[in-house]
Parts: sequence; C-alpha cells; structure tokens
Amino acid sequence: MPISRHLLERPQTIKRDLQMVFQNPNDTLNPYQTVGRALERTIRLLNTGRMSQEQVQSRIHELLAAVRLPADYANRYPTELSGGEKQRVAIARAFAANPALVVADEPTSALDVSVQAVILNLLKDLRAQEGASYLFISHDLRAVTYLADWLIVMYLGQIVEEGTTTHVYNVPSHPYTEALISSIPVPDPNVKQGRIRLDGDIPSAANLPTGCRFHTRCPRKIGAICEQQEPPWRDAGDGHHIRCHIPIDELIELQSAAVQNPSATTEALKPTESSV
Amino acid sequence: MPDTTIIEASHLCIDYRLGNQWINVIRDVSLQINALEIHGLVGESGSGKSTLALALMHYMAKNARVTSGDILLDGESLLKKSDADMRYIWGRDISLVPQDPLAALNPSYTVGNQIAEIGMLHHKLNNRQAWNKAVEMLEKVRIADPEQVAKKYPHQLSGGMQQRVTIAMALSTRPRLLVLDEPTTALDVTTEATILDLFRDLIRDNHAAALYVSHNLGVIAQMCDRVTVLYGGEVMASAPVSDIFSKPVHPYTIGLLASIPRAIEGVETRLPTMDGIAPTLAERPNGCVFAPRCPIAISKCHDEKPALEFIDDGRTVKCHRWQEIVNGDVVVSSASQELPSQGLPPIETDYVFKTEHLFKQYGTPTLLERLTGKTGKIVHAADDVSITVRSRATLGLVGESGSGKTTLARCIVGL
Repeated sequence: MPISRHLLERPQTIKRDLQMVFQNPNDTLNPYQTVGRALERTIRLLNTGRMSQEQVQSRIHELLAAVRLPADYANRYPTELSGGEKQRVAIARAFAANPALVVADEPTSALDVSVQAVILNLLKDLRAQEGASYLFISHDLRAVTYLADWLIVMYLGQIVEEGTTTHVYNVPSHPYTEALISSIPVPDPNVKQGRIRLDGDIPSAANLPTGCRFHTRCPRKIGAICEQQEPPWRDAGDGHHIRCHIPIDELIELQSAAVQNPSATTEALKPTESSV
Repeated sequence: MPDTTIIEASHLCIDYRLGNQWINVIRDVSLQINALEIHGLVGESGSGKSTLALALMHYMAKNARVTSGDILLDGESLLKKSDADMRYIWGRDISLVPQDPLAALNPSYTVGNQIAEIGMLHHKLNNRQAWNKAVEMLEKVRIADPEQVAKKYPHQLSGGMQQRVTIAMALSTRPRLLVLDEPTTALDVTTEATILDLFRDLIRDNHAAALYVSHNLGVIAQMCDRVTVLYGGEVMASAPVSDIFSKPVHPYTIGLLASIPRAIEGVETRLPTMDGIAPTLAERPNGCVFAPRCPIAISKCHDEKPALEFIDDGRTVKCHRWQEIVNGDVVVSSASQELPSQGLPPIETDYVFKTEHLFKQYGTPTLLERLTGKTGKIVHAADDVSITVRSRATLGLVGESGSGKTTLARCIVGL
C-alpha cells in the first residue's frame, strides 16, 4: 500500500505501524511526564478502538515487563532513570501499539558496552515476541551484524551494496564496504586491524562527484572510467548487489588476495588499469 | 629510554564534595606509565575514568580533593605544585586530547592562531615563527593543505579535522604525557582508524607516554600495551593487553568482554549480560564494589573488601575468588545463549515495508535558477533508494555520517 510522505497526511494505522527509536534517549522523553504517562499517551493515541483504564494499565505493565523494567517504573520521571533505562522506555513506547516496522536510528551508540548488550538482546527478543521488523541504522558494524540479516551500505545518498549480512561481510564487497570493515578495531590484541584507510572526508552532498560517487576516496579506483561513468549495479548472486566498475570476479580475486595478505596497505591495493 | 617511568600514581584517593559531605570517588588507585607505553583505562560511565585521567594531570574540579596518595611526573610530585607551576606543566609536559574537539576549540579564533598561541607562550616565539610552527604541526597531523586550514575557524572543519587540530595543539610542545579522553568516540569508524594510526606514530616519535580512556574495547585492544579496568572508582584488574583479552580473571572483565556483540552465522544468539547497573557515587557497597552484579559473589564478597593482589609479575586483580577462577574451580559463565534460528521468509512475497526509487533533496531551485538552468544549492540526500524490509527480519543500514542514513529513516517515519 503506498503511503503519503508527510506524517500529518498519514492515517492513524500507518503511524501505528511505523515507529522510531532515536539515538539519544535523553532527548526523546518528555521530562514532565512519568514513564507510565508517556506510554499511556501512545497507547491511547495509536490504538484503534476504545480501551478501558484497566486495559491501558495492564498494557503499560506488559510493555515494562517486555523491556525488563519493574512495574513501579511507571511512576518514575525520566530524570530518575539511567541512559539504558531511558532507552528501554523509548523502545517500550515504540512497541506500545504493535508496530509493523520499528526504525531504530543508532539506538545503542550513546550507551555503555554492557548496556548496549542488554538493548541488543531486548531488540532480538521483541522481534521474536511481537513479530515486528526493524530498520536498524548504525555506524557500528558489530552491532549491525549482530542484529541484521540483510545489510544495505550507503554512500552519499546512494546504496552501494546490499545483500545478506554474511555476503556483505565477506568477499566480494564494494571497496567502500571493504574499507569500513577494515577500519573496525578488532577487540583482540592478537588480530591486527585491517590496513585500508580512506583519505579525506566524505564529499558534500551539495556538490556530488561525477561518475562513481566514491571515486575521490576509493582505494581500488581503476581510472578515468570511475570519474566519468556511473558504475553498474552488478549482481553477485542471491540478491547480493554491488555498485562498482570492477567486475565481480575481479573483486573476488583482488579481495581474496588482500585477505591472505592483511598487511597490504592502501597503496598496494590499486589494480592497474590494464588488468580490467 | 623506553623503560623510564613518566607518570606514577600511588594509592590515590579522591573525594568529591556533594552538598556538605565528602564522598569518595577514587579509592586507592595506583598505576604507572612508562615512556612509549599506551595505558588503557576501561570502565562504564560513572566508574571514575575521566576523574582519574584528569587527576593524573592534577586537573580537578573545584569540589574535588586528593585525600591520600601521590602523583609523580618524572619523579616529582604534582600535588605540591602551585597553580602557576601547574599551568606551565600543562602547557609543556602534559597534554589532553578531549572527547569533543568542538567544545575544546575557541570558536572565535582561527585554528592556526590557537596553535600559534602555544608556541608564543611556551617557546617565546614571535608571531611569524609561531604561525609557521602551527602550520608545521598541522602538517604533522597529516592535514592536507595546512596553510589554508590554519586560516579557518573550527566550525568550518569536519569532526575528524577538528580532532586533528586538538592533537596538533596537544603535541606542539612535545609533551611527556598525553591524556586521551575518548578521543575518537565522536568520530566515524573510517576517521577513527586514521586518527588511531596517527596517535601510534606520534607517541612513538615523541617518546611520550599516553593514558587512553575509552569504553570501546576494540580500540583498547588495538592501541594499548597495558589495560586497567576501573569499576566504581576502584581498580578491578590490571594486566598487559594480551592477558586481559585472552585470559581475563576478574568476573567484571570476563563479563565486559563477553558482551561485545558478535554474530554467529545461522544461529540466533543472545549476548551474555550483567544484571543491574553500576553503583552511583553515594551508594557504594561496603564489600566488593562489583558484588551486587557479580554472578559468582559469595557472602564474603558482600561483607569484606577484597585487596588488590598480584597474580603474577604483571597482573593484578581485586577479587576474593580469583584463585578459584584461575584454577578453573569456578567458571564465570560467559557463553552466548543460543536459540534455534527460524530462517528468513522469501523476499518477494513477505515484506512489511518497501521504498521504491526514493529521492530526497534539500533546497528547491528558485525560478531564476530554473530559467538559467543552474541548479544552485541542491543537496541530494537520497538518490533512487529502494529498500525492502521483510517481516520479522532486520534490515541493517550502514555508512558514514553524511551518507544519508538518517535522512532515509526520517523519510520513512514521515518526519
């Protein structure tokens, strides 16, 4: 079913189906409302059909239990909660009216490692219990791969790669994805971090590079073709797609070599133009 | 001179005044950092990481006091120094790279002038020399076109560039000790990687010692030589980095390492988590500070504070039961809970949400621009984006800041 672009033009059912969890839990809760009041408001506004006060109260307790908070938290104000607890309330609120899709924009980025694990588990449990889907946005590839089964990599407003998490994470991948993965600091001192680095900053979206948008920073740039032509949306099988001028076979060959020789630096990556 | 000790804190205790009572924040913390060594400091928010890091610089809030212990820089006690002496030391011997570079830079001076000021104050350089030195420092932190960048104001630079400027400021006096307080937390992963490389090179070139405060265990593993784990203002464990990660002894360290998300293919897992939250300043338990959350706490842990003991030469731990853990008599459960995976429904038939060829632009061309064919300032925030979210599935969306992730999210929820 097509939906309208603007929130005000959308019917109540669509608003109920699409919910969002924001990055910073401190900014998303009204400081003058208790947790119970915040949940009650969402339940009343978004649920179709009349609900009695008892039904609303039992739904509040159900939601608090689902996010592993004690029932008496309904009487607390946001200032009385820790960052992780606030994020749990924000998640509970998103689930207040059985949404179909929850958009989570960096929901764990502002949290401590141990709290992050609790929230990630919670999101997984709720997905199984409530049957919702997530669009999980994060720059933390570890958190994303833990939760997502399908990955989309974006660069300058364009999708450069998509596929199952396993496909995207392994060879072949778009040179940008490859650089992102290489940049992750591995939590094991005996495994050296990848050596691929991107120079400079992401270009301004007001002044897009010609050809492939990534060519200004691409460690695998093959030459003039990257600057002049938009790269094709190549099919790597099983729904795995890569937007790059380098053919899939070639990418597999180049990147497998890099995996075997992880000390290779950015300079050594560049394929010669004749090889393509 | 790699083995010379640069900074040493011994049995440091710090109190904060809240209202009219003093509350203990840091309890009996000792650590030493040698030249060329990067010492990691790990802990949750509220564990006292930043307080300790700033205390090592003898830079403390007005309501804080050191109740016992000492801090020695090159063998000299910092606690006996006057404020005037400390200002000199902060400029010359100890530098701080803060978490938020924009808050640390003065918005009304060009970055070149801010760096040059240090040269004029501490090296008695004249304007011209100090400016040249500033440009040279910007070049050292690998800023392309340093002369142009030096003339810019902080808000004209990206987060990564701003952080490079604060690093250039921190290093312009060749400090003995660098205090890095979560210096990459606010940055993208690609920028973080280049900044970390830069730290490694600069610390080596300057023969400096560094204290690296972070809650990102990946960064700690990649950067540090030694790690100290802080919890509730006390040292829980301290060891060389490879020992902390390969054979953690303290239940808190084990719990922290286990909670790093990692995906196992085809298996639904739940991360092992620690119950409860870190104690607040006012309600520190009498026994072991970690006891209320410890999975293997016994009654002794709640009643009696454990002492910091040596496991072997380089490793210390503060736990009543560490010997049992080392001998394998007690196991701190850290395995992920595995659940059967349900598999994915096929993409064509079962979806809850789909965008097809979504375009989002900010700014519309004016009539004049349309007539003259100029497009003006149009920001292409999303171009031809088609996504499909299947039911009961999670679609992950990754990219650096500026890639259009959040724009897409806001389009979907209709904001």
